[in-house]
Amino acid sequence: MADAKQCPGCGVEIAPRLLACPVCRRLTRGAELGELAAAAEGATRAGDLALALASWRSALELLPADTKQAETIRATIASLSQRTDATPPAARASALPKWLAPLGAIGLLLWKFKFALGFLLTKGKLLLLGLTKGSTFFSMLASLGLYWSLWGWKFALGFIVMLYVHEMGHVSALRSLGIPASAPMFIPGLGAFVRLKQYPASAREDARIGLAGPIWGLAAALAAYAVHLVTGEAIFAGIAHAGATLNLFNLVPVWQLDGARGMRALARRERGLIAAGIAVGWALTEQGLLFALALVAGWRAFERGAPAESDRRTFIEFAGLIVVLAALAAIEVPGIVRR
Amino acid sequence: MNDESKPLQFETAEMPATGAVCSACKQPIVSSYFTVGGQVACERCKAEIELALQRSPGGALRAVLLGSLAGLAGAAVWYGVRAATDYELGIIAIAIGWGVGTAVRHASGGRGGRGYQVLAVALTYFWIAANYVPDLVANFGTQAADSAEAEPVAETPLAVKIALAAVVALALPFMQGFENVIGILIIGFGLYQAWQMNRRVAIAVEGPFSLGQGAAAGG
Repeated sequence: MADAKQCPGCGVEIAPRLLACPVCRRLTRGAELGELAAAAEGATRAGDLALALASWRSALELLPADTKQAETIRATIASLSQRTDATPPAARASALPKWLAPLGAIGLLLWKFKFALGFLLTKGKLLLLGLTKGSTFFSMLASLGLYWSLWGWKFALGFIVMLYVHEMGHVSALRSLGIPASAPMFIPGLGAFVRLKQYPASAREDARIGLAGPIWGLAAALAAYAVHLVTGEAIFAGIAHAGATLNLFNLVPVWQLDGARGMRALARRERGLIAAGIAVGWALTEQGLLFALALVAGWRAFERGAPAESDRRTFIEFAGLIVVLAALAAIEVPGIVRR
Repeated sequence: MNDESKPLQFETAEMPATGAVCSACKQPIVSSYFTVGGQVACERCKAEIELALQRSPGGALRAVLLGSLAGLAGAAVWYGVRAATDYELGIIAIAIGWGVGTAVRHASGGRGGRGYQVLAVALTYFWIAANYVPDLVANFGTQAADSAEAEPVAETPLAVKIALAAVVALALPFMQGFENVIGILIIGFGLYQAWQMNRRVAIAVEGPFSLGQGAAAGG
């Protein structure tokens, strides 16, 4: 028989998987719950929303789902999660220091530059940290080997970077929402994925996580295209094109793709607007991928169960991503004849 | 912390006190209980679930048949869309993975396992590739006509053309090099879907656990 504990309250044997005594309802992980709650409250006071959210989410796992405590914690998570939108990390403490004020516009520029640099360094640090995980690094090498044999090392390396940056976008969003997840894992020939260890608490959170991948992916594709414009090297145009197409494909709102997660937070009207916008883009550019996107987004616009209200930020991000990615995917790559 | 005026306590779960109740049949449990997938169950329900898990699956042949039917339907849709619109909708590969995965899982009695996973992936790839067979057969016909102008040769039987086209189709996704980067990824998603849907379902059954005097005390 499994290793049962005796309930200190009523003496009943408690199965190892149960979170509360089946008879007197005494919580089996009460001490841990208390510690997590204290940590969450401390983190909230210190303004560390990610840690507060992570602690509350961990506490939720130790409670039966249908308890009042779980309900209260879910409400707390929703409220804290909303605050992560209102106060993004870069915006916190963004006031111009007094010593720069006399410099006027130049001081402001220097301060903005500092923030831009800080932003890049923070994201760069996250990108480098991701590579320290053995599972990420070695699975990445295995994928690189396969793509190298198919397309040569230069393109393979660029494509792997595109995939990696996309995944790290998800990781960044997950970290800021305090949702535990695995490190990015590459599967040769299948792309890469990050496995969530907890479900997002709302459609809005799911959309933030889902669209963060294409947003970071777009930045990587734009960077590759910028290198192409500066150096004239065709390979970078090819990498930018592949990166943009990869991220655009991920926005198809079906299955487990990022677009499906983004669309969860949109009402039918906004879904319809996006579908119509994509259809216009398809009519102008005749990109096959836009045809598929318009088709699926149009279908999702008639779906029952869509929320009554849209999340505004999701709508702006979704629409913006489609416009820029479609434009980048339509660039001419020297040496490749488009059908 | 939270907005509630009353602070959270973590001694007792605040939920309706119903005593020990089976989560399957909702009947009170008197002397001992089991857990099935982490849920409290009475002896009768636990035995029924175990019996359902032990029931023999439909067999590999049925899985091949149902999976092939689903794959054939998906391949026909893919080919039909391409023929009608001239667009290559690679996303249908995921639908084929889902269709084949569902069919194979159904044939396995919902239990899955490594063998069914491999079968689902193989069928998915086969039917994804098969959607190109009509185009390849037509292409053989064109090539034969071109060469016939120079030198008349005996016409290749249709069955041979189809067999040859099927072999070529299996390699086709990897023969387009640079231009099929996303295509290969999408096929990968389709195969992953079929694989995932046929993972072995493991439900932990534990117990019995004694309720002693507690059941009566709790209601």
